[in-house]
Amino acid sequence: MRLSFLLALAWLALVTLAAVFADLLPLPDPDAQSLLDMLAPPGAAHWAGADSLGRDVLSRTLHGFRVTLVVSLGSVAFALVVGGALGICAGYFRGLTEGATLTVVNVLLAFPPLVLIIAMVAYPGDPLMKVVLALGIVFTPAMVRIARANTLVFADREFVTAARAAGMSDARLIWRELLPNLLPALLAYGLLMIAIGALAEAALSFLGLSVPPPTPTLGQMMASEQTNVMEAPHAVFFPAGMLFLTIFALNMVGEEVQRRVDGREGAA
Amino acid sequence: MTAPLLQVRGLTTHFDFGRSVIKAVDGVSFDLAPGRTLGVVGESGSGKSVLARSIIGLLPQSRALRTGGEAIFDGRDLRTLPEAEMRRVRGRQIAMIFQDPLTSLNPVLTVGRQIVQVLRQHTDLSVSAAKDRAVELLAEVGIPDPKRRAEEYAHRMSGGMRQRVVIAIALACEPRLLIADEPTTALDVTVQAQVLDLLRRLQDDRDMAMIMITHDLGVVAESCDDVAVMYAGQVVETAPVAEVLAAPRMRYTEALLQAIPRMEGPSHVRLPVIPGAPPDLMRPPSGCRFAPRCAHRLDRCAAEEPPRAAAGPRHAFACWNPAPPPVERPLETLADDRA
Repeated sequence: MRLSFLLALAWLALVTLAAVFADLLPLPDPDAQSLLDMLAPPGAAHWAGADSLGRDVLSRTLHGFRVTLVVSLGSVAFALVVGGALGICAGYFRGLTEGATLTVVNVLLAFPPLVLIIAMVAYPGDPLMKVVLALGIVFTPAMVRIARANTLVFADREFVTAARAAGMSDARLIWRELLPNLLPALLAYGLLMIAIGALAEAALSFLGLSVPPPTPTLGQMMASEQTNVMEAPHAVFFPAGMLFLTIFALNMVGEEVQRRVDGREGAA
Repeated sequence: MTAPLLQVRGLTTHFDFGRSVIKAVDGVSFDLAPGRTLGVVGESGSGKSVLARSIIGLLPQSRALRTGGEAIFDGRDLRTLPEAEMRRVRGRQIAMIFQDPLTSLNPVLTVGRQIVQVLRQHTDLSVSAAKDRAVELLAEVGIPDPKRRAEEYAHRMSGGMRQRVVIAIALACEPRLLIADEPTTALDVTVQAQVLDLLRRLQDDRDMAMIMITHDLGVVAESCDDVAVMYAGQVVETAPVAEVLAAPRMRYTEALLQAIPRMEGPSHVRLPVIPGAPPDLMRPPSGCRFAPRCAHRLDRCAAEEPPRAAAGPRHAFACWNPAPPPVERPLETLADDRA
């Protein structure tokens, strides 16, 4: 468990750094076409081969990961902030606040997420922002429920009553007393959500609903090269394999963190 | 006697659930002067804690809540004070400490930070000034190496140490009234004595009034000036401590005292117990609420509620068939020496 956890962390660090610094790495331009190298297998010139337009697959994959990173981190951050705030307020104030929040959440949950995303992406605007926002809204209901459930557990604890007896304002009580208790659970869940976000972005871009070409994304690479999969499997399987390993690593890290967070209460 | 700091008059706290009404606190009155300690004694479910929470305004916000009477603190009725005003009173003027010091401390904040929070809420101290003050407060409640301890979490401390921290938090803003809800129940006996000593010392330093809620008459004897005995939501006897311990008049108080083992006298004697259980607060018995369990019950006890009778300048009780007054009062001098 320890070793695999460390390997997973190392992989995530490697992929993230490679994606962030993709421009600085000695790689061909992801958009540069070289028709002579069309569907070239992996080799010295193209480490992961070239696609049907002769573009470097490794370079495109790393650049594609940027979209994956921004979308998965951005949408989870949105859900954490918005969903977390709503959930904590619902669990703390109860009554009307809770009723209204949960009604909205239930409506959102009853809505097919794909329809919601297609509807949102159809609006004009920056495509990256739209995808982040759409996935963020899809993730929010779950975060609201988790934040509310955890708040309910802590709001009944005596230290909250004691803080109230000390005349603490609601804002200070939530921000300084409750939030530090809730954060580990919320972040642990957020970590698992990042994996779902990365996968969702790939699915959306495969369907052409994410950032449009020429910006490379993993899903779009797989979609456009799938017709050549017999001839040049690397053009599909390299980005797919990279995504698979990354999500595998994210899940492994997420589960380990969640285990530690859950164990924390019992051990204290 | 100085003018009272807190005057409670006919305080009632009922929970109205439509079909039934729980009369948790039912017409409680008492006075409390600065620097004095009132012990509130009673069995579990007698309404002690609800009384304390009624005074400090910490009852659950519920549509079932029905409140009445008044609690005049420093000229203002706490019961009619708006929540924003009440928040300034809590922690600053009136502080409260709870039974279990572990659960009343935040598990993920250092104890120093928790004191800083309260100081920052009520005063204009900067963060660093508040930190210095927190260390001073920890030193004042007798925590060794307070600077280092301020950086620690509650779970690394012993029970007595935690309760000292809780006291430091409560006293951070120099409140004029401290409500202590069973502050020593969760502690070892030796630590209990230390905490009671500490509370008394801090109280004397600040001329602070205190309401000590407990079911332990030993704690009362050790730390209180006056006692209010509660039964089924009502105060059935109020008196100076020594007077109540030596010569209780209300039969419930008498029965409580008889149920305490004595140092003198034979050791292998069955202790007298009070038969039965405290009454259901939804359907309290008519007349005297203690009547169904009372060994000295008269016919009129179940029929009419006994009026409050005076048994001395500061001693009142409600009983139709009271214990006889002592022939001479050898302990009366003792009762006044702490006043």
